[in-house]
Amino acid sequence: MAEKRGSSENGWELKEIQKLIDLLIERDVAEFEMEKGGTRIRVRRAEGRSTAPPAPPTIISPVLPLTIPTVSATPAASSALEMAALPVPRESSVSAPPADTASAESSESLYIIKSPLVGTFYASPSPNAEPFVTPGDAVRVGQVLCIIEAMKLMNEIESEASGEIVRIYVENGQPVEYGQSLFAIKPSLKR
Amino acid sequence: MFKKILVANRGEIALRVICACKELGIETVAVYSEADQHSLHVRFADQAICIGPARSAESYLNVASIISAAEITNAEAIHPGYGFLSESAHFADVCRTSQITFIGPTPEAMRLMGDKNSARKKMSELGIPVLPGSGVLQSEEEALEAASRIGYPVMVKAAAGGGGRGMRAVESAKDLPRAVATAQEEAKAAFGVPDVYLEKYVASPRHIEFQVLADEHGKVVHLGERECTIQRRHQKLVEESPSTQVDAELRRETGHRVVEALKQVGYTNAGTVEFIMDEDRKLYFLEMNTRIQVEHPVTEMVTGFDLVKIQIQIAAGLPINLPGETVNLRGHALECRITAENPETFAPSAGKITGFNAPGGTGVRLDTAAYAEAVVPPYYDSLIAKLVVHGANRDEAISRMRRALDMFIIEGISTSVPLHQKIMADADFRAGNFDTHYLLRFARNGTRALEL
Repeated sequence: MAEKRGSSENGWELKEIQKLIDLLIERDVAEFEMEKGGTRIRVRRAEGRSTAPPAPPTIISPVLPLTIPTVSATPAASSALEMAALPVPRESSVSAPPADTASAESSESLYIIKSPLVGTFYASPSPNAEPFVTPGDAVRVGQVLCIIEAMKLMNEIESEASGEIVRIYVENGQPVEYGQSLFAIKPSLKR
Repeated sequence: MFKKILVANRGEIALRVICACKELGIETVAVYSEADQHSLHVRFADQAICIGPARSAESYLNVASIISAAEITNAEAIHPGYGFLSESAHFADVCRTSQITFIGPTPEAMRLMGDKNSARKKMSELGIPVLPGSGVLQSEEEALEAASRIGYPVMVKAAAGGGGRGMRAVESAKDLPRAVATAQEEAKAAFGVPDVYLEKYVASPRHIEFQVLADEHGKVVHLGERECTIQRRHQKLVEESPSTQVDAELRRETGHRVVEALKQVGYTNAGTVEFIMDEDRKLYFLEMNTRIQVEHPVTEMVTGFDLVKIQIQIAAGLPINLPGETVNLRGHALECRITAENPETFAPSAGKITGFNAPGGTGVRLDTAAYAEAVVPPYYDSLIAKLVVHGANRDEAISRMRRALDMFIIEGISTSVPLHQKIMADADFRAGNFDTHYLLRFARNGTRALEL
């Protein structure tokens, strides 16, 4: 509470900064600025963070799963602020949380069709038939793209977007899990 | 023996099953919802299949997804854990028709013993005392007649209820008709079925349960009792074995009756027969759980058996190798269920665990899927760890539990550790002097958090 308690010259304690960083990561905030004790701090998380899932957790010691943000402290016009247990930015210099980046192709606004089922992926209606779709094909909403077999039932998977098939992520006969990427569609502007 | 087992569960019990499989040299398949992507059971299984979004109904309760996951991984057997589909006779049926071994009893045994009314009837026929009660009430006259036969006070209970839900006590005949009518409405709303029945009300009850194992060759054994009296709203918080209220004679006699009854029923695999104990130390059959239970480690500590391994071995057709129908219990074991809840208000506390130190040392066992930086999701039950201790006697076990609780650090979320510390320090608990209303003493003035 008292600014003087154990505080360093520039008004921020290392522990406070660490807590701030933890809070930002927890709340998925990209950028944050705050002034205290004559010092302004700006914290910004590194751009283009890894799209791979975080490393498997260990039981033994805490590990920050994301890239360490950079912190710079610059003196500014004095304007004392209480450091509350959960600091709130004085001005809203918080940008919107970064968009979900499931794969590099999302940056091109591709629509990814994901498996709604657990089962086996079949590209064709029957073993010797032509595949439902191949890359380059135009598809429309509701068009059958593949079959996923689950418990001996053949489920037809319909497209949720109209556009062009740019990529097929799975092979004929491959087991797939819920949420697994199946097709990438470049959406067309008209329905 | 199975080459590959799919674990149809999550959290600490999924990890527990994986442990048993690893030790038996069996490959494991974990299934997980999108909320459990970074769970330990996913990490430690040989294969992991995402089966749905966070909602249990669409993931851990989704029979088609789970069976499908077993098919695409060629799992030969499924262990259902506890909760979720573990007591679903329908799921056991589907496993059977899909030619996947369900590690548990048959669907027939699950239907017979899983339904409270049919189980009571069956056990009564087989000579096991049941709490005096009625069948499903068809009329007000029947209710009044049954209640006067049973003797007031009586409890009105929903036939489809469980875990303490759908129950109310009635002191006298003048209150009965209204209580029954209200209970029927509530039962319809909460469980879909308005059926209610009456049961003798025990003022100072204790909860005693017997662990049983039965193989597929007709051998049935019991592994003694556990006492699970420390409860809040019929959710167990502390369990122990042996019970301070059960002497060798009562254990031998009750255990024998239970074994004989289950032989008649043709029960197989693991199960627990639950009793209510009245003020005179008489045991009355309450219900049977046709699965492995949360508190099974307590029995493992006093018998030295690995119950999950034995479940797998039984399901693979192996015989139980005990000469008699039971074993001697050694020492004393205690378990505290650590939940992610505020220890006073019991409000759930989901979120990220920022600091974690697991207690260890002599006679301490921790079953948990929690770890530093783990996120406790809000979609599932709040149990995050089971702290189990074993000692030469009850005093040592309590002192060991106190020590272990003191060294158990979980930061970032609220947990029930402080409440367990209070219980372990309490004179009545230490004297074995408690019934199911015990936790009321820790209710703060004015809060209804500990009402039963």
